[in-house]
Amino acid sequence: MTQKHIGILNCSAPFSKPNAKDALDVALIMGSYEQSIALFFQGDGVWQLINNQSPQQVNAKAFLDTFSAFKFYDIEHIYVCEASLKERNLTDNFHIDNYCLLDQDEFSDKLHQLDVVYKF
Amino acid sequence: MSILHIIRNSAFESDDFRLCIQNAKKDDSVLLMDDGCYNLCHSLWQLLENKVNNLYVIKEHAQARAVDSSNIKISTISIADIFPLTFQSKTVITWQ
Repeated sequence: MTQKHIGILNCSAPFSKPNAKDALDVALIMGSYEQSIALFFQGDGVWQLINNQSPQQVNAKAFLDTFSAFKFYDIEHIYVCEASLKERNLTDNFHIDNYCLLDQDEFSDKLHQLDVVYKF
Repeated sequence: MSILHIIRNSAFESDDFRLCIQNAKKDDSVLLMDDGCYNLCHSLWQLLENKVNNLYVIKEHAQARAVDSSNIKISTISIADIFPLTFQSKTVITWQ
């Protein structure tokens, strides 16, 4: 049986909705079952990657720290929409390494290569 | 390698519709349902219409919201038609 290529599309900022935490949980579960998984960050989802966030200030869990565990779960394909960064006047000052910045067309091309997409 | 994009939110309150248009390709399909029907009245609709060939709206959902789709290039379908539609694309993304 061929393995499905799964993508998790993160479009939500980290603290106002449970989406970002839910996406992380799904990614880690999939990773622990050795599924072929890629993470995509677009729209307000890019806020999840920005360095020096202080979730304790709003009584939120520091779940973004768990992103540093991606390498232990073999989650190695992390794609970030460069246009979404520019729209928000952000740079790639991220709290993770080993990500790939993609322009709009490249980002869309990567999504179209997947078998399954979960959008959060 | 086409995608069926299912839109369930209004672009007047969410960024999902804009991101969908950003990622969509010519041979993809876009289905409006629930509050996604309101996007027929949004200024972004023209952008989608020019970019994607296959556009669908759930007739009952549009009628329930008094959203008129009669003069717009879109196919009206029923809930039962969603199931076969999912098999016409490789992947489904539900934007909600």
